[in-house]
Amino acid sequence: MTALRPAIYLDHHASAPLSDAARAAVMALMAAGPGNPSSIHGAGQAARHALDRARGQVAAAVGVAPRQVVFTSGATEANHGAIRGVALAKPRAAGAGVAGVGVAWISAAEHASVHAAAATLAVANGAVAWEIRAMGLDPLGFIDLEAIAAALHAVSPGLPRPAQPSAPQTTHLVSACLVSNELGTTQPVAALGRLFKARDPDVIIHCDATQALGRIAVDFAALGVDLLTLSGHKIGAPAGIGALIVRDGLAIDVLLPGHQEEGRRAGTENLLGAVGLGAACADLAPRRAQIPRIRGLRDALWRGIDALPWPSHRHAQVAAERETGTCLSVAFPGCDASDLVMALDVEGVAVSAGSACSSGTLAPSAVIEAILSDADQALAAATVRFSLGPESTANDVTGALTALRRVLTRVAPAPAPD
Amino acid sequence: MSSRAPTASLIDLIRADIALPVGSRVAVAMSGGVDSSVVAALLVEAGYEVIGLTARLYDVDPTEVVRAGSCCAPEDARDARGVAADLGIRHYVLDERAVFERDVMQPFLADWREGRTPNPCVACNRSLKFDRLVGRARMLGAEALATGHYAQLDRDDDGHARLRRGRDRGKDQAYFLYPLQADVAGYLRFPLGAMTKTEVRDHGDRLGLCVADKPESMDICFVGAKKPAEWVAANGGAPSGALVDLAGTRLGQHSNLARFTVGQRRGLGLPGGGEPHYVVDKSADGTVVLGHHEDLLVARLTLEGYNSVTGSVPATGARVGLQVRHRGRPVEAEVVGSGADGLVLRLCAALDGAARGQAGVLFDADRVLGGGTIQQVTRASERT
Repeated sequence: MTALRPAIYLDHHASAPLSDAARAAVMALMAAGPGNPSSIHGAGQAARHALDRARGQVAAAVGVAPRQVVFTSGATEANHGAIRGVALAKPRAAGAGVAGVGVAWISAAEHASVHAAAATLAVANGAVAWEIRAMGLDPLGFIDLEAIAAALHAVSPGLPRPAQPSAPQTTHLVSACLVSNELGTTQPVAALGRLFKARDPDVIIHCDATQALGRIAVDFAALGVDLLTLSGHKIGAPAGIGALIVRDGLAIDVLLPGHQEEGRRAGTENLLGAVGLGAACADLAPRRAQIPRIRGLRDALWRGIDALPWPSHRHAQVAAERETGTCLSVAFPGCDASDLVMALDVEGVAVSAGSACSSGTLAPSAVIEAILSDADQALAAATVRFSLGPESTANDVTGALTALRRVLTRVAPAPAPD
Repeated sequence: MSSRAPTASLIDLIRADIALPVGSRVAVAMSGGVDSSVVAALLVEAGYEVIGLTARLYDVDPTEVVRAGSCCAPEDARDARGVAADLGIRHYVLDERAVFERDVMQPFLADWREGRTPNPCVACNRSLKFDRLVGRARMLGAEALATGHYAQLDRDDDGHARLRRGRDRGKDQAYFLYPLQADVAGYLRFPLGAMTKTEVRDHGDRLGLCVADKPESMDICFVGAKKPAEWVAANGGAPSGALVDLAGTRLGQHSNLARFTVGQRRGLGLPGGGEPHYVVDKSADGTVVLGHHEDLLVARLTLEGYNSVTGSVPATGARVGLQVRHRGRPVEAEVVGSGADGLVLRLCAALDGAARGQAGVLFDADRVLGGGTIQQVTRASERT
């Protein structure tokens, strides 16, 4: 069988290699024998101990108490659990039969799962019929705080409190990622939260930290958020495990009612996944220590691309403290990005472009479209994302540049003569 | 994968057909059916670096029962992916829905509305196979694109492309391939051209391919379980109009021009008895002209947009075999002129009907010379 695995993997934002720590923990558990954490006997107790330990490791990674950690099947479920959980809980809190009670503010930098969860709120369904408001990005890929401040003031100066206690109360839910998956830019989540909470202390802030963990500091309290999404397979844990961190005292509804996870997520726990996530979370410091080296490789990759005799345009080139150093989003004008991804794959280099569609094909990235001017929209379909991780090497960079040179002669329009 | 080893001679045959050094990168257009799956598997066995390409051409109506043996639908892309996984080759799904809509489905609708009988398989070969897929294969650095067509393609002694009928005459697809141009002909490979369908199925079994027993795809892929006329009706419809005889006498009325094609005898909605009626012509205003069998006879016709596969247009006076429908037999015709309107042919033998819009393909024995779209059909009865 021909080896399908590319020799050079530059798609760490899509999925990172399993880390040694996570692999060791998962393998040890697999060797340990059966055990359901809900069982009374010793095997069950061993499983429960492993789960508790993993929960503690995840909690410690983001500075919360273990009781605040709800294991999920991944970031997508955590995002749905946060956004839909808030929306389903709030009508009841405000009083039965109250319709049209919410406004969800969703940033344009969000993962598709956040938009999908928000879309369910916009559909009138019993008491739930929310207004969805988009939070735009500036040309560098940051959530535009000034525009939001202006919009907040325009639509509801002071987010008025209900005149009488019995009147419907508008809930405001804000969802913003900490790091953009497409760009690696670090979003001003704490400032965004302050902006909203200054007007309405009851606003609920959800932050998807999927692409942040292991790359920058993620501290629940410092972020000032109410809900935080984590994912396993971006930090070296297996795919299929994630977590939703819930602020103490926050009432959210439960998508899967049942007794596990303190009644907040039913189903026999994914113990292998949880243990992998816990081990990866306990191993974040060495991962983050690699960031300066990774940034150096990323910068070398960009210098190499910039020196190629084909035009290229780098998105969101910002100061190091405002991005993770792991991501390089580049448009090759005149190229079709999915062609580039395929051609690079054939040459043994894995990168990504756009977002996967149901058809198994690609659509241009909505995040890239959001930061481009109207005149530059065509660049979105020409944009390729290179993302690096702790396993990336200088050879990966030189190999990728060699492959790019070979591939661009076939994919790109001929370079303009000097 | 549980498969028996190929014979050495088979591998030699495949290598001779591909005519590239072992290890060369070759793309295979994989529809998800048995034919193209066998092509991919045989090329892997012969030692090539194979890349599978599957074009996603259209969306399937989810309310319609999935039809076994369709082509290029999501289900088929899954089958192609499964075969590629078994073979351990790279496989990409290409979203060609917009191009297919523009180059195949819309012209198909327009043809039916304007009184022609379209040939969407020719349009698909011209646009999707010979242009889009070839372009993608080249972009991926492949040195050739192989497909599962039943036709034989090589070069004659003068270096011109030689496209011949498939050895399995029951499966032969040479008629649909006339839009082949010289630069593309040198890039394409049809490894099944010298095989019979039975042999191909046997290879599928020998190779343990999951699609070995998949039913044939026969009809126009995107119309699904519908008849073409129903599909046209469901997509905006075609004109209604009168059924008239050659003298212009009104014989009846119809509600959908797409139900009729030249040469058709059944389903005219006329009372029985008497000499049978045939459709001899139709027009964009919805009129369907009926006549008797002898009225179908064609005296001359024009092939619009003639493409020469051999590299040269037949000279005036040349005698050729003219095939005007899939599975039709070539009829002798003489080239009487060529110009901006296309190639004009005079029939030398009886041809009972030619539908405007269909492919007219010229053969020299089993070799395709070229072809074009039939236009300006003059019936023998009109010339007296």
